[in-house]
Amino acid sequence: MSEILKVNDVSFKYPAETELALKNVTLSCMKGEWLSVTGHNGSGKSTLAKLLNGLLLPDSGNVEVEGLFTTNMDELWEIRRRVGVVFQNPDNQFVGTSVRDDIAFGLENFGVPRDEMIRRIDESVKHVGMEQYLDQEPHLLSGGQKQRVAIAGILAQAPSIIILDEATSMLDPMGRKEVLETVRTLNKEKGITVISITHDLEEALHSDRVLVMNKGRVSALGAPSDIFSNTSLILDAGLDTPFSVKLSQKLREEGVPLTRDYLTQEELVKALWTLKSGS
Amino acid sequence: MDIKIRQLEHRYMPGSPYERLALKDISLDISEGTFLALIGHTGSGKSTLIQHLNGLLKPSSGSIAMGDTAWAAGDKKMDMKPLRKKVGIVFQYPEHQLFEETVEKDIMFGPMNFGESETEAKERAKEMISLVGLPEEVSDKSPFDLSGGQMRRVAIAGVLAMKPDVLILDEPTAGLDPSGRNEIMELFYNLHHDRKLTTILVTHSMEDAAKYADEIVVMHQGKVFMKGVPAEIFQQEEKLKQASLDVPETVEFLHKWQAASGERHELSEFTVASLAKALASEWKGGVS
Ligand SMILES: Nc1ncnc2c1ncn2[C@@H]1O[C@H](COP(=O)(O)OP(=O)(O)OP(=O)(O)O)[C@@H](O)[C@H]1O
Ligand SMILES: Nc1ncnc2c1ncn2[C@@H]1O[C@H](COP(=O)(O)OP(=O)(O)O)[C@@H](O)[C@H]1O
Ligand SMILES: [Mg+2]
Ligand SMILES: [Mg+2]
Repeated sequence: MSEILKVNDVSFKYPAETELALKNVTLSCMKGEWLSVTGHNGSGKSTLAKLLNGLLLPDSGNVEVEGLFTTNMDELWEIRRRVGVVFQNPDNQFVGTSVRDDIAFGLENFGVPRDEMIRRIDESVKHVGMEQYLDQEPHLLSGGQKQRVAIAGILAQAPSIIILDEATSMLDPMGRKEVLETVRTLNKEKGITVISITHDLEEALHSDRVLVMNKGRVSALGAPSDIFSNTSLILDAGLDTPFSVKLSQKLREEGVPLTRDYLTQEELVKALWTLKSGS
Repeated sequence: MDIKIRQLEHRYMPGSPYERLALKDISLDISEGTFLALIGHTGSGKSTLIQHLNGLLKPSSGSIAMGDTAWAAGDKKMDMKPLRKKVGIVFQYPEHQLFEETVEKDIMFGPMNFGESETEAKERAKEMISLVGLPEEVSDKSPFDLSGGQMRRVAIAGVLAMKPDVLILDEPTAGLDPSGRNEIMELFYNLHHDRKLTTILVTHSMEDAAKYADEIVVMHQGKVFMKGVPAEIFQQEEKLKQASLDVPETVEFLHKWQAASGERHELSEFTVASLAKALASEWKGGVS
C-alpha cells in the first residue's frame, strides 16, 4: 500500500489563542485504509481534519495529499476536492431545497460540467441508497438519511479521502450502523481512504489503525489491538476501555481463569467456550 | 414537581403540505424525584415531547401540568417564564443554545435573566465551569471557538447554573469523550439525588438508560410504545426490535453466550460487574 496522505511536523495555533491546538503532529495514512481518530474533547481532532483539507493552514510543517501541498495556493482547491469532510450536525450542512440541488451546488463549486454533474449525482445517490429521495427537501429526512446525503455530496466530488468528523454521533444506533455500512462499502469497493473521527470505541476497534490525540499531540498510532490493550494510555487520553476488555477483567476478578483481555464480544465468547469445554 | 401529560398531540406546520403528526395521544405521569429515560429511534418524537415541558412547543390537542402550572391546547398565551426558571433543558444541538460573547457570560445569562445578582451569577459560572470539567481559561473564550465537546459542556453548565428542579437532557453526552461521558452522567445522577431533582434523559445509550433510570419510556412513531422499569423493558427484546432499538451490551453478550453454550442467566442489574458475577457462577459450579 502506498501513502496517500502525509502530515509532516505540523503545528497550529488559532490566531486569538496563546496555546497551540496542534503540536508537532506527524503521521501518514495508507491508500485504502480505515483510520480512526480518537481522543479527549479539545485534543485537536477537528483541527487536524480542517488542516487535512486545507480549511486551515499549518503555522509550521506541511500537509501533503497525493503529492499536493495545502500550502501551495494553486493546489488547495484540488485538495479540497480530493479530501471530503462530513461533519457532525446533519442539520447545518444543507444549502439546496432538494437533495439533487444540494449535491449539484457542491459540484458547481468545483466547476463540474452539467452532463457530468447529472451522471455523478445519479451514481452517488445510488451508492448510498438514496435514489428515491432526489426531489425531497433535505430537512425532512431522518438524521441517518441526512448523513447519507451528505456522504453522497462528497462522493460526487470523486474524492480520494473521506473524513467523517463525528458524522454519526447524533444518530440513533440504527442510523449509525447504516451510515457506517455505507462508508465501509465505499472503502472496500472503491478503495476510498477513510479517516473517521469518533468517540465510539466499538467503531475504532473495527478499523485498520487508530490514532489517539492527547492535548494537541499524537499520543499513539497503531493497530486497535495494541492501542486498546494499553489501559494506561487509554485512560490517560480520556478514553475508556471497550466493553469486552472490561468484562474480561471483571471475569478474572471473579475467578474465571482467562489468560488475557479480549477486545470483542465474539473473541471473548470463544475464549470462554474453550475454557469451558476444556474443563 | 409532578408532571402530568394527557392525550397530548402535536402537529408541525398544520394546514401546510408538510403537516406532520409528530405526537399522538401521549398520556404520561412522571412523579417528582423520578429519573426517567426516554428512548426511541430518530424521529420517534422524543425531542418534540420534551419541548412541550417548558412551553417551547404548544400542544395541538391535550394538556400538560407541571406542578401547579397547567395548560391545554388552545389556551391563550401564557407567561412561561416562572416555569422556565424551574425547568432546565439541555438541547440536542448545543450550538443552538449558546449565543453570548464569552463562555462566562453565556453561563451567567440564565441566572441573571431570572433575577440573580451579577456577583452570584459570576460565582455560579465559575463553579459550573469546573463542575462540567472545563479548564478555567475557557471562561473568556467565545463559545463558538470551542471544540464540539467543549461547547456541549458549556451548554450543560448554563442549564445547571439556573439550579432547576426539573432537568431535561436531550442526548446530553453525544460528542463527549468516553471519560467525559461517564463523568457528566455521574454528575447528573449525583445532582439528581442531592438536589432531589426530577430528571428526564433522552438517550440512545441503552447502557445509560439501564444504569441510571428508575423508569424507561420507549417512544415509537409518535406514541408511548412501552413503559416500565429497566428490567421489564430489557426483557422484551422482540418488542424493542419493533421499535428499532437494541438491548444493553451486557444483555447482548448474554445472548451470544447462550447461543454458544446453552447456559441461561437473568440479570437484575445491567452492569458489567453483575454480568461477570452471573457468568462466573458457571465456573464455581453454582448455576450450571
Ligand atoms: N475557532 C477556534 N478558535 C480558537 N480556538 C479553537 C477554535 N476551534 C477550536 N479551538 C480550540 O482548539 C483546541 C482543539 O479543538 P478541536 O476542535 O480540534 O478539538 P476536538 O479534538 O475536535 O474536540 P471534540 O472531541 O470536542 O470535538 C481546543 O482547545 C479548542 O478550544
Ligand atoms: N421543526 C419541525 N418541523 C417539522 N417537522 C418536524 C420538526 N421537528 C421535528 N419534526 C418531525 O417530527 C417527528 C418527531 O421528531 P423529533 O421529535 O425530533 O424526534 P426525535 O427527537 O425522537 O428524533 C419527525 O417526523 C420529525 O421529522
Ligand atoms: Mg471535534
Ligand atoms: Mg431528537
